[in-house]
Amino acid sequence: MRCRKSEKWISDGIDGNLAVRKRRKLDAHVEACGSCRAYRFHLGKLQDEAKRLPGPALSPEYWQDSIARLQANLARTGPAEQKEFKLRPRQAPAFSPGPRWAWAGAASVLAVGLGFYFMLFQGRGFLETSPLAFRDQVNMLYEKIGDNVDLEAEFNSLIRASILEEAGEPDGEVKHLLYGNSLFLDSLSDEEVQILEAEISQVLKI
Amino acid sequence: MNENMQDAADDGLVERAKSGQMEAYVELVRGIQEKIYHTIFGMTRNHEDADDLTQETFMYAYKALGSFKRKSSFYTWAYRIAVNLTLNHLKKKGREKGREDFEDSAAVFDRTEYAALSPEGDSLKKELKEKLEEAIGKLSPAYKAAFNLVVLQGMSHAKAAKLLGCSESTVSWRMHKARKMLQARLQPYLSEV
Repeated sequence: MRCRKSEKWISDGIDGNLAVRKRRKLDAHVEACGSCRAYRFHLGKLQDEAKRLPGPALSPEYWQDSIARLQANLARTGPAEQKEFKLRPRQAPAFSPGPRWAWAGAASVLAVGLGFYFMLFQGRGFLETSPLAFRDQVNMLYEKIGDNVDLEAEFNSLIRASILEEAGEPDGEVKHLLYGNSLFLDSLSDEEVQILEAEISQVLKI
Repeated sequence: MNENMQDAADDGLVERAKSGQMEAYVELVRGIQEKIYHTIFGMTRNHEDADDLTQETFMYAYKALGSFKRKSSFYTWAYRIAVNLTLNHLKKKGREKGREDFEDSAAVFDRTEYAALSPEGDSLKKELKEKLEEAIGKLSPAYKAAFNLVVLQGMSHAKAAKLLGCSESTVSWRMHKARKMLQARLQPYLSEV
């Protein structure tokens, strides 16, 4: 087990979101790995401290005043709407057509990368090739996306489209290719695997 | 009152509120306003913002009552509005949110737990708390929202995902990344305390 995967599982474990089988694997790894042991210890401490963070202590008078203000505002507004009301008005895309093309191009590169992998592993089994190029490419793209959630979602959907384009309709073949070939998964970072799993699960409804 | 009974009672209030009885709506709000406020505060770490956004949430929900289909409880529905409004607010405010906002609101914090600490032995712990507040404040809105719902509100990934409108694996990934960032920023304190 790699430490990067272990760190992700440690986080899932703290949230009670780790299957027993994975937990056993994780425990075995942490037992043998000093750095992951320290990481788990730090995250445990972080969790404890975060839970103990003081919140605002507000008086009953504050809540009464809050209700009074709301009542005054409601009185100004009038009765509740009976008609349909869209909660989240559609917003303009987070990025302009220019970058969108760039991302579509990046997804195409990924599509080629995925196609390359599928071709290699489907046809001839193991082939001595470096998986790093593809991984680095994906990492670089995710680094550029950074914390932009909209862009991340858009990019994920492009990856999904790429997978479908390369691997055909979701008739179970994609799942077989990814899950049945550990070499393919081992060549990807945890984040990439996570995204691929989520995207594929969504497509295959598994 | 158990959850089902509470939901049934809320249904009656929602019906009355929809028919124009403002008092019924206020009654609904009274039951959940503290939880909604604390959720927003957890994400903004700022009292004034939490106060404004709580009011905004309930105004928004009132206007949107017509579209409430009772697929969830009123609380869950309002909760989702609160999270969305807060995320939009945080995005608008940007990542460079100044720490002075937090300092201004710090006066309302309950500091009693600090009083029990010996000034010498626990100064590092106190510093860790402050740094942790600061580091959480510096997380991007999406990570902050996930961290708040999962760690501070104690929600499962599934429930947080439902409220944030994303998949469970996205929540899991954001939690992992948020923790990695916090750990990296706080490592010296985590090692010493």
